[in-house]
Amino acid sequence: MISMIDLTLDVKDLRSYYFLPQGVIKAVDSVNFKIEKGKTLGIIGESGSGKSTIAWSIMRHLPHPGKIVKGEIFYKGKNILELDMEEMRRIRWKEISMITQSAMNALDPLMRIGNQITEAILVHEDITKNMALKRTKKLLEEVGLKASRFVNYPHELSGGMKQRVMIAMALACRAGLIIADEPTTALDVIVQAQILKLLEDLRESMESSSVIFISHDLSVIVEICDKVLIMYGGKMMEYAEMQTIIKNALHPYSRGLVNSFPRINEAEMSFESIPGSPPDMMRLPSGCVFHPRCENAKHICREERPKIIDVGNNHFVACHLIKS
Amino acid sequence: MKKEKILRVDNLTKWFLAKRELFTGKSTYIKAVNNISFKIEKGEIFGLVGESGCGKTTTGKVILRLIEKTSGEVFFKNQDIFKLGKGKLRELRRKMQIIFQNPYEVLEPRLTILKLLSEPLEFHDISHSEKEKREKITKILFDVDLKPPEDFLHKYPLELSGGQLQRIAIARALILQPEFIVADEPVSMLDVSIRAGILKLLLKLKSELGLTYLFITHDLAVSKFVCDRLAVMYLGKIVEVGPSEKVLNEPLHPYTKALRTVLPILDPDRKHYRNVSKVIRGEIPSPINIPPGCRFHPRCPYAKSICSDIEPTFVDIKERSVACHLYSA
Repeated sequence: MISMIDLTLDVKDLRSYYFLPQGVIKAVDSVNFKIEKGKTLGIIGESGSGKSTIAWSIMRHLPHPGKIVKGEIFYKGKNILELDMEEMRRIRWKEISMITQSAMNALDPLMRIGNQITEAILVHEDITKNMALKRTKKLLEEVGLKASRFVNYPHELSGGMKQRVMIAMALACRAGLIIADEPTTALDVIVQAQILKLLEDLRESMESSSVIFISHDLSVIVEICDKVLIMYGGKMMEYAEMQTIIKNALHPYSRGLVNSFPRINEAEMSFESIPGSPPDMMRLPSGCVFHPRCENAKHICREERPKIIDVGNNHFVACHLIKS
Repeated sequence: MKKEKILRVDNLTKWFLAKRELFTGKSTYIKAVNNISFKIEKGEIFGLVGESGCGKTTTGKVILRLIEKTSGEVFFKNQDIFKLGKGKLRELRRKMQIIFQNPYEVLEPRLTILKLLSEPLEFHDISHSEKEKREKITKILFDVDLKPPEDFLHKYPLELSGGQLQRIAIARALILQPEFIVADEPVSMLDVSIRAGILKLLLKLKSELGLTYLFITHDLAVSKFVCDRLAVMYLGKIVEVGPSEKVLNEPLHPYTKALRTVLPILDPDRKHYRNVSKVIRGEIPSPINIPPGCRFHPRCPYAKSICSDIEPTFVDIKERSVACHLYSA
């Protein structure tokens, strides 16, 4: 049993929909997960699976015309969906911060990067400008940049450096929850490894922060996260410890994802794809959203949406073929 | 018996003008591709791997003469493609096709699949009757596993998934019955769960139609799955060439080693990124100011004094050619 105190985040039955003129997109449809203090949860899924919508829902920054229609998001025991916009503003960045895929779009191109970080600190904390400046320089060094980079504008930095600045921003107020949404996807492999190494090094100095790491790349999630939530078509497919997913994934989609990763070290390379393609979110399949691509689909899979089953050992799966 | 060479690239260089000073007339260039040479045999899949900005895509484009060279030669079946006139070049384009990374960008959204696939036939004046054209298109859709073909003919690109669109892009390249294909990151924009399917399709088509590929990718794992031989590029230069098994299993060049070290292997207990600072330093320099000597030396953990002075030449070792002073006697 985990007591409430140790939980950084507890998301219950979250439903976030986009209301378009053509219809409703159920981008996140009944998602449940918990993150303990100091732990990292990976959320994996393909394009349109709803993984970024989860992040925006937690930040309460859903792009128009998105709406959280149901659910509760408890941050350190407090339901943040009940906060008004002013209270939420105080939490954002100070308590819950975010690193996005395109640092290029998140940074102000007309402002020196040091000033951007300092300003973020001053907005949220009651400290002198001098102290904030000092902390900014220290942060820049922590993320592997020279303090002299303070005066640079975003365009003067490489993609990897900009991502480091984003990380410094996210760490600026020692947030309790850091959401990293595809933080390395736009980067080359070497830079990606350097950023992951940085995140891991920083992890040690911020033991009390929890992290949500969102990616389409299972190989990155595997190495970074303690637990993983697998999303497909806006629904949870499976939720378990990382080791469990690699060695004993139960959902056919999870197994498909594991097999669609090329295993380069094995003599006979296994490399498989899942038949068909990800669903059209406007016209989701009936029953289990994965059934049109599932080789084991039975009659019931077309008829009924599977419930989430607890199979023990913190392992949850939504599939008709699995008996609890 | 020696195999037939379908493509030969000799000392190919491509520089782009970055800026010209107004008064001094001094020019700065982006040195995208520098003096690279390689040969591709008929029926082979030759991979160009490297990070963004290494010059792999530029190389692919110059080979098809989609952009002009700065210097060097490219021979397609012993014809110097830069010496061809317009008519001959058009004939050549039929035989050399390209598949791009993003099918959404290349397929005109206002045209039906039927029209998109008719276009190349009409442009090259290949099919005479409507019936013949229709038959060709149906067959090619069948070949790229879009079945039944009739279901796709009247659809528009936006009605198809990313994977289906990439199959259309492949069909469009193949409908002219080319001999040589440049595949530029054909799966990197696609969802992970469908990548293997597209790569297997490319392999199947290769053996059924007797094609030869130049396969451009940043993904070492994909290159191992697809390519017979690999050339690793860094800052516009090839640093190592050889059979893909060899290059990836026992890399020789320090840059290839670094790429190999950071490759994830789906094992929660082995974190690939942990050793990154041991195998490579810093960031990639700008292709405007390429470091002297070996261009990799500022980032190389094995660099010696010679590395910053003299550019290494190729050494043949263990079935490979590698440009690194560590191996030059």
